Amino acid sequence: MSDQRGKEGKQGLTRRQFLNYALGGTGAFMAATIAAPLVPFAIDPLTRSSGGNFFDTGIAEADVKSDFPLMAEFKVHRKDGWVEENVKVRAWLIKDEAGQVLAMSPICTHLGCQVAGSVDASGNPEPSKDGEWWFHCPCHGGRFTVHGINDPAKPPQRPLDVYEVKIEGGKVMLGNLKQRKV
Amino acid sequence: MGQDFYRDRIPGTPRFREKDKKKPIGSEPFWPNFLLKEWIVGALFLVAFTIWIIFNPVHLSDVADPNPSGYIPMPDWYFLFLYQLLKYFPGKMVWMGTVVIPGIAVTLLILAPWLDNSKARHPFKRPVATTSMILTLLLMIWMTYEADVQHEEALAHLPKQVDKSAMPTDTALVDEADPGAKIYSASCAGCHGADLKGSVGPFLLGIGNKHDAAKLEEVITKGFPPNMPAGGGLTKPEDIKAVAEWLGKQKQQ
Amino acid sequence: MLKKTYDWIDERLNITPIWRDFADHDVPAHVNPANKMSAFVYCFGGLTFLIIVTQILSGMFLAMYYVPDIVNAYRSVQYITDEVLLGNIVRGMHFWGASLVIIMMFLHMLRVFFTGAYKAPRELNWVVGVLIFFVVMGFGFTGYLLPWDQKAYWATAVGAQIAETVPVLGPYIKTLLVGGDILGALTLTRFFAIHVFFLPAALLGLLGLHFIMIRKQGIAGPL
Repeated sequence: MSDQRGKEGKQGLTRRQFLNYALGGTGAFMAATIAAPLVPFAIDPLTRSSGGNFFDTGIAEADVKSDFPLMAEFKVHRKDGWVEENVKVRAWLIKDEAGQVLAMSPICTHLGCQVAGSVDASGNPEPSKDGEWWFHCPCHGGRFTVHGINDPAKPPQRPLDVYEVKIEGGKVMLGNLKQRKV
Repeated sequence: MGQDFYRDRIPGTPRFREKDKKKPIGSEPFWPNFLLKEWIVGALFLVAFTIWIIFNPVHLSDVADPNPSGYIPMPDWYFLFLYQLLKYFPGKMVWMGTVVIPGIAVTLLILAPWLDNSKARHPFKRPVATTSMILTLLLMIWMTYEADVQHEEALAHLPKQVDKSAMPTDTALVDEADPGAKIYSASCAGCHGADLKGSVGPFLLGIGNKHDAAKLEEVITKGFPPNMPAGGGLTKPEDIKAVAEWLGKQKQQ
Repeated sequence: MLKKTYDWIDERLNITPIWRDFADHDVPAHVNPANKMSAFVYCFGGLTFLIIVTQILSGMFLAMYYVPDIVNAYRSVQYITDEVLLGNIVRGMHFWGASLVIIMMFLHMLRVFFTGAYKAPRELNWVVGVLIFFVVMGFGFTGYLLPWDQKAYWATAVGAQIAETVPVLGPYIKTLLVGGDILGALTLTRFFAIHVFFLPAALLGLLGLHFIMIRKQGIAGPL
């Protein structure tokens, strides 16, 4: 049986080999046909670009000061699959040394408490009573400068996170939250 | 090679033919002799397991809250050693802990039969394999322990979590444009949460049902030392009054 | 009557050889605790299987009440725990069973390692065993999120962040795992599908291979 197969093999493709290849090819075709809709179905999330969403804070770029941060509260339309909701988001806006708008998240980088800015009773920014440290976290005493730089001697080990900023028609638009390096 | 002696048996041939052959001492048929012993062990094991379940009911923590609220995450215990490993590679080097070291460990584990390819099987006769496995084991146990200790430490430094189980779910915020609301969001929201939902301090949704504005003003003025300072960070009596009036309006519909 | 039914089926399908081979194979003395108490270490594999069976059963029954949706998942688990008759026990079975599978499987793996049972000709079965270990870890990771409580949510959030730190592929892995940018509705359904359909299919296939190989090769001889 085996030397017979060997003889045929020298002549080229045997009938049996041909049938085996055909069988393999047909099997691969069936597998591909089934997988064709399934794989894209599963990787759908990769096809949805992220980071393209910017939300209007309703605050004009010109209103953002460079001495003290300004609190912006705005609604973000969040779409999570079939669940859509409006989430209230806050950011502290200030212009950095280069005049660029810096939008800081008020979430403490230690454990996620909300930091409070040095403001008077009606919410207007005022100089801090604590020297350069302008933001204070009520949870573990973390503190940050007006630009959100942390006091390394306190629990938070990273500056406040910032939103991507885009200026459109003079308005400040905010995108995704990004971490800053220490 | 006791059992190999019988490998030549054609599956399905009746047992009586096998009985004629010499059996290695102590071996016995899988069914029913050996399986019975296994099942006795299994039954005892299941009983112990059931008793454990009855005396250790499982508790749910609060419902998932995607807003950062100071919750300290902790994976299930059997992932702790991996979690701990990451702490030794902070910042940019973290891929060492996520990919390189676990990758090497997994590869070594899968390739173990080819790496440890001597004929010897007794653990004392293959010191390299035995020693490295024992060291890895000790390291894993130590890292699990260390992760747990550090987690407990972090918990001890965390302010007590607020019990939100009683928070009304059908109550919305009332009168968000009120001047009191503005003061609240500047001075009180850090602890009592945006939208009165609480974080470090208790939630205040529907607080108007419990106390009226006058009572609330009194409570705020006194505070809850040491957690909440008198006046809750507000210094001017008229601010306290404004906040109290706004909170008094927060009635459950 | 029973005998007659059996004979009727056997006449047509010749099923006797199938179970005879399984039932009649001899179990060597060195793995039998009746001969030597220290042979109990050979029980770990069987006990792992026993707990996996209870996990499959309790999981199937939990699915009668559980809903994989961010609004209702927590409430359905609460309902199972607080209201369903013996719900706390069934959930307890599944919860504690998860840890027990890991423990027994780990002990089983250590037994195989230290007795050198993975050596030729049993290398392939060792590889399959390691794969089973990873599948079970996958069960643990995906199942942990399903109750949708704080513990579940934040542990998974950390897991997703860790996946993101993988060089180059990290962000893609994270997106595929989470099902988007937000750890939410799509994550829960994804984890549910993986936990309840994909991983069990993989596990049953691998377990089948594991057992067939043990049957073919027999248990490794005494040390």
